[in-house]
Amino acid sequence: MSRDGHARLYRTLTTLYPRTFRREYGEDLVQSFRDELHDRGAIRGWARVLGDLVQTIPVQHLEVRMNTHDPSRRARWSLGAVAMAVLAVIAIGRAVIILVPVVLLVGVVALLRWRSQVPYRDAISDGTVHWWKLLVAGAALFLSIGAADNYGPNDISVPWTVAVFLFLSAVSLLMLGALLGLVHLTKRLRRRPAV
Amino acid sequence: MARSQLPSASLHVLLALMEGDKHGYAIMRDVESLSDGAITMGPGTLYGTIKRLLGDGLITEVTDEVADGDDDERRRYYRLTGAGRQVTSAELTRLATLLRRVRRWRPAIEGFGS
Repeated sequence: MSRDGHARLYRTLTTLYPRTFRREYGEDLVQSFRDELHDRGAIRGWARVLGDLVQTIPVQHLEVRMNTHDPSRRARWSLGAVAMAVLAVIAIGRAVIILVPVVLLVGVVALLRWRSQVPYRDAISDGTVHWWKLLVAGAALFLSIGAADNYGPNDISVPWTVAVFLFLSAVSLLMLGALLGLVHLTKRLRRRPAV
Repeated sequence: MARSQLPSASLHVLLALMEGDKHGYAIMRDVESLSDGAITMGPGTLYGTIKRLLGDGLITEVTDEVADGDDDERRRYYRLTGAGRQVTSAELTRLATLLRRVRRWRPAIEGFGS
């Protein structure tokens, strides 16, 4: 495949980014990839951008949603997501339940990665206040795994490695949420003035 | 309210721009060189970081310039702002202070002794 062909393929993949990000940086992304191809060749160029795409596409979508200061817009986005999920179940059937744990896990990983990239802003001073979100995410992942196991289609088998990975991820989220909750509680108790 | 430290990617982009205006791919190359290959950025990570730094006023985009030796391509160049220099200097000072304290506190730790 020619360099132009590789660049066209990469350009197609960049359509997965949010529209605003794509509009602003789409050409720059493709130009950087062309430069990579020129300097490193196709194999190393793709090796770098594939991992980059997997990590940054969910993060950019999350940034677009998290950076809105309009509560009504967030509510509309949440309701829209729920409506889409309901329509997907109706359209695709029970098979969509298999995807729920995977989508949840991708969302949590994107959220954690986004948090690690938010620089020096004062909006978040104490990460432990978000302990309950990890508990909710872990519980939701557990429930969705259970739902997929009980109500998912019988003709689709999930590799046991995937099932174990999702299970361990749910356990990790619950344990991390509990630990952060404990740290948060300890901090609050320490801040109380002595009687 | 304590300031969170700069993420590694953001710090390295700011450090790369301390030398002067650069376009995106040059920043990618310099970050990899500066970190001895420890930090390698893909285009999505780079421009996600640039987007945040632009939003926070630490860098600014300069008028399109033609890349050296490449008359057909117009690239976007970025420049460190005054605020960006201050934040970068503050972060480097913080890291230097931490290293100094570690050396003073535990000079016997291998690799940190002065």
